Amino acid sequence: MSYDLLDGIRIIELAEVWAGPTACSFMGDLGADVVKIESFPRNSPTRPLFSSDWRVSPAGTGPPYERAWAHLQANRNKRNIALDLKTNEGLDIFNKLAKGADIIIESFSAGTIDKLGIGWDALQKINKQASLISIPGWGVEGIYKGYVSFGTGFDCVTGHAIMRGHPGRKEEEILGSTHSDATVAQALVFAVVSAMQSRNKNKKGIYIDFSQVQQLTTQLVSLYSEWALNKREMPRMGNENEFIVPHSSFPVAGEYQWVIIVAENDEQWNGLCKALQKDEWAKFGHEWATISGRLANRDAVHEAIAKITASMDSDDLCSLLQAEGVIASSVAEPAELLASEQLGYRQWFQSLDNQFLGTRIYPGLSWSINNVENLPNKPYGSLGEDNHSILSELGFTQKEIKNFEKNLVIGNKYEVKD
Amino acid sequence: MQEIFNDYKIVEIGGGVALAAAGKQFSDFGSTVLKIENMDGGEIRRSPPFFQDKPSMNSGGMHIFLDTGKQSVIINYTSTSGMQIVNKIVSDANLVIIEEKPDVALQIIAAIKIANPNTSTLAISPHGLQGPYANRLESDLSIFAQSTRLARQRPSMDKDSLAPVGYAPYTTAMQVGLTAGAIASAILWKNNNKSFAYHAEVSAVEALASNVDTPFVAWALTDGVMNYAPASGRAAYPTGVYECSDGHVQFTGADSPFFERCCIAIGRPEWAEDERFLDLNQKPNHREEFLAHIIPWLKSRTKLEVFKIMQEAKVLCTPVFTVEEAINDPQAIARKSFTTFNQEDIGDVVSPAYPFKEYMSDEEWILKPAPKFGEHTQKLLEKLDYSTAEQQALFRIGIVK
Repeated sequence: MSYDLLDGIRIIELAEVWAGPTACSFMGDLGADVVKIESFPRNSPTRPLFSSDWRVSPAGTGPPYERAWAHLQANRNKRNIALDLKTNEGLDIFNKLAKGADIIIESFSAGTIDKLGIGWDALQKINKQASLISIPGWGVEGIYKGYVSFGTGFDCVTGHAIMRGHPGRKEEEILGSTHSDATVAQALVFAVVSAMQSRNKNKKGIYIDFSQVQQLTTQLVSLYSEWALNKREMPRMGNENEFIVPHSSFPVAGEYQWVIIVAENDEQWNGLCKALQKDEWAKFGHEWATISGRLANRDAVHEAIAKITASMDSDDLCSLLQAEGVIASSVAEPAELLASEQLGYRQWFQSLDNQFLGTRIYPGLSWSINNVENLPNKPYGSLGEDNHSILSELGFTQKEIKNFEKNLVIGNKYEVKD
Repeated sequence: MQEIFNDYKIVEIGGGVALAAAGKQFSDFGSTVLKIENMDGGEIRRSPPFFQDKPSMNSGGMHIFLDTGKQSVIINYTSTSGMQIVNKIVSDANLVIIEEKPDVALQIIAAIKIANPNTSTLAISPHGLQGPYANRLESDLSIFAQSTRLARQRPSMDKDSLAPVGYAPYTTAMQVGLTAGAIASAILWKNNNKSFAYHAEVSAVEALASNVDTPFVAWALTDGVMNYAPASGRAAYPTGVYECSDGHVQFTGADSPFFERCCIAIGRPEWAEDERFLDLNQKPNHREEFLAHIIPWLKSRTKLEVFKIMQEAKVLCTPVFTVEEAINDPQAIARKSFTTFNQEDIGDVVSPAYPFKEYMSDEEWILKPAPKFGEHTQKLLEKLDYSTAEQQALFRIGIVK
């Protein structure tokens, strides 16, 4: 599925792992012509060379780097050229691509594109109308220039990681979070449109210095506003909420099965009591019948609910609670998402083709437009799948293209290490 | 750069956090953003934290951070007279963003379509405006759980381990708002001259489940074999959070070339060429040997010392900061990552600046204060030519405030 909101915009993607590639998938979903320049002959980190790598699907056939879910989930609706930018010929090809580009998105560590000779100054000599968006972890400018990290690291330097987790547990138990990859990807759509708007106003491209760390801070409003207004760090509360009881995860029957239950007001609390056949908890005079009473007895309320839910079936419990207007949800595994009646009703999932893994079910789009027809997807491209067509578009002859292949300037295979 | 969207008028209808987050992207970039709030102000006005812990419609952190530079009018838009005012307000809007209960949102959209057929709308809701779950009540955590994001946060594969834990409060709503801002910007780009009215939706569950940071694609492409990253797998070291002399650092990327670089950084360059560590089949057997060296090495250094050494070696390693440390980080100061604005009755408020800027630009990121509840109602009614009698009549029966 895709839409045509960004059609006519050509984006060159020089990005690896998740944030940048996911953003470019979103823009492909919105109709932009995204040309992904894939690292060659070095493989990108999400294209493993070992079949035993945990990111490689055991299903399908073909080299491991073509069966890696970590790559596929961030790379749909793009064209793919695998190019060695460290060669003069590779640079020449890049420059020709850049000449026809509206936007170039790159995610190398700060300063790398200048060393490669494809930075902003070089771009200005080729195409003054193109915008460059650089998304190093800590941004382009500043004293951490060249520093490296993935999303899990950004989660740590923003104050998010340290407040996640169960209260009283050691910091060493904090799990990694790639939340920044998800949010940076969406923020980049806005950045691309901003760059296009800027070009319309100023009649020239713009160089946007985008910090992934800063982007994540903008998402942590509860933490940063608590600091700004009261000079306090937010406490680590697991799944609980300082102002709402009950608000937590509760065990249900089965191995490691949990349900989220939240009752924000007396009406929802009364519904919960009815669903759990504990009407007495809601009666006037019971110490849990009021918000103050529940806040004062947080642990006891949660323990009492958990005692009841522990033997209940997750679906049955959620249905009972939802019928009474209580917020309740299982901690859904992928199979439950796939089985969602709502997502089925909205025909949200999509089937996409991949020559190595066949036709598979993938998540749908992040948004829907009710009065515009969906356009078909471009099937998943394999490594260097569009080398020839892109180079032909750029005016290279078949003989030149074959020479590029022979000299490993372009390619469509990595050396597998199995 | 903060004037990029100054040609646009965006109208928010509702009181959700995601709605405010979507609108903020435009108000901070120069658009006229008008909040049409209902009588109770909604979640954005009523959610903690509050300045000095004293709740009021104007002192909440979510509102102060997310409503910067907007105008606030209070209208009971579920009434016919209220909706008439809304239609006058949106007549020159480029986009109306709505976060309301599905039945209310559908009524508003229907009314806008009749009175302003060229005005685009974008509705934010937990599940979409129609369908079997459309009217379910949800919270930040329940949406997070339904999207499969929470399942990914399983602490360990032990049967008796603790429940998976969600993210900070409102991270779900913020991501949904960001997603809405993205599609809103694309609609504005495509529809610059309002030649066509788009009617778009962002469902919170879909917004989260369609993005990365979910296990769905891994599950679907591996026929259900792989759901989780084996962060605690024996071959994955160093990965995770480790103690230093004054706090903690976090390592990501236990694979080549980061592992080899780390070996060199901790003074064991020979391990960078040692098959016992490089062969993924052998590596798990030598985990304890590696940890026995790196743990004391880390504990004898501060987190900032470790950060510097590891980054110079190009190892994916970061310190674990508190919010205060993040604000005072030298990089944040050098980049002016945080900005200060003055909010009436509260004083100076330190807030994250926007995450991108023009390269080498000296432009300061300026945030305008958030509006008081209903601050602009009267002026707006006057602008729309409501007579004093009409204004009093509307106020009397609670249509405006």
